[in-house]
Amino acid sequence: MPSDEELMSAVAEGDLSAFEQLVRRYQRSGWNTAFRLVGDLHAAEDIVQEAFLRVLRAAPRYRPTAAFRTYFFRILTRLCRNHRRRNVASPSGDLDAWVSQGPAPEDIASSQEVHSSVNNALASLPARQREAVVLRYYEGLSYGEIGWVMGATRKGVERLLARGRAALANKLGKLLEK
Amino acid sequence: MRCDRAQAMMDRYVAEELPRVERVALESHLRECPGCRQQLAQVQTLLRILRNVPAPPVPQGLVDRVMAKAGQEIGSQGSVVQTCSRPVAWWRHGLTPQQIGFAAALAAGLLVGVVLGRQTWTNSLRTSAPEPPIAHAQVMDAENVYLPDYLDYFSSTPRGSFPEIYLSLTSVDSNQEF
Repeated sequence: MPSDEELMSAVAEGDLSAFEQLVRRYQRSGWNTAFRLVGDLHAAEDIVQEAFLRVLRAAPRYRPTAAFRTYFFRILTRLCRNHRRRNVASPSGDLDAWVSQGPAPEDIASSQEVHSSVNNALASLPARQREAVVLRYYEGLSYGEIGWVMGATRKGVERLLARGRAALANKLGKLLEK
Repeated sequence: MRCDRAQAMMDRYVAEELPRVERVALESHLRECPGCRQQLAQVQTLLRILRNVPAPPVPQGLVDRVMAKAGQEIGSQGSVVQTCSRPVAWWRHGLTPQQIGFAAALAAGLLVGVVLGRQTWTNSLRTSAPEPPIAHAQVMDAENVYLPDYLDYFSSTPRGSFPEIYLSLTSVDSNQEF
């Protein structure tokens, strides 16, 4: 199976099937990240689409100095940041809405309550803390990779995550005691 | 190890990313610090809760929509390579009439500025030309001694001194016919 970087080289030479493979590989993580960062279903889809198109446009300039994954997340998080700047209020409505869809048994209802609390707590974090938390705990990026994506030092990432965890623990206090 | 340092490392400890030296130091601290042990348990619970909250499913047809847009872009531009190539330097693809007009106006403005500036400068030189010094020749005539400028301090009437002015005035007066 070709690596991401090999696929990018093929994309740079006009190979659309290589581009499609990249889109298939990263659609889920791109979608999850965008949705968790902007909290809006439609905006998240627009952002993911735009991120992939930017990858396509930038393919000839791409140099594998960084892993494609971090390169992609860098584009994606910047688009999310731009979206949040344009829409000052960072909505968490869709974050709640999708967990409460459809009838659910009681045991699922309680987990939906947990999901809703977590999503609300996540939505209430300052933008950079939220980015760091999402990239670290949902996408599993290392401190160095998060630093490259966000334009921060490792120490800076460490501080953002520590503050983010403290804020989340504060908001989810009851859940953590269970 | 201080507690704040230990707490900053807990995230990587849980993810088993800590180098051996740091891991040993942290574990040593944890054995002695019940507060940090409690903190570690909280971090583990928090991360477990966060990871148990899924994102909504990827919208159906996302890949198809991205590929359709990619196809449109490439269709309108010719190829990925053309679409993505670096912007051609302006001097290579020629100038538009607007750019030529702007450059001509800029050059004309500069030329007018230089001409006007030169005239103003010349006029200011003429008007502010220093008055000819008090006739040194007259001073020399009065004393019948020639002194170079740098030795003028030793004369009885150095240039610019009251005696020199007095002499110059009286010598002029003496030449006037009543």
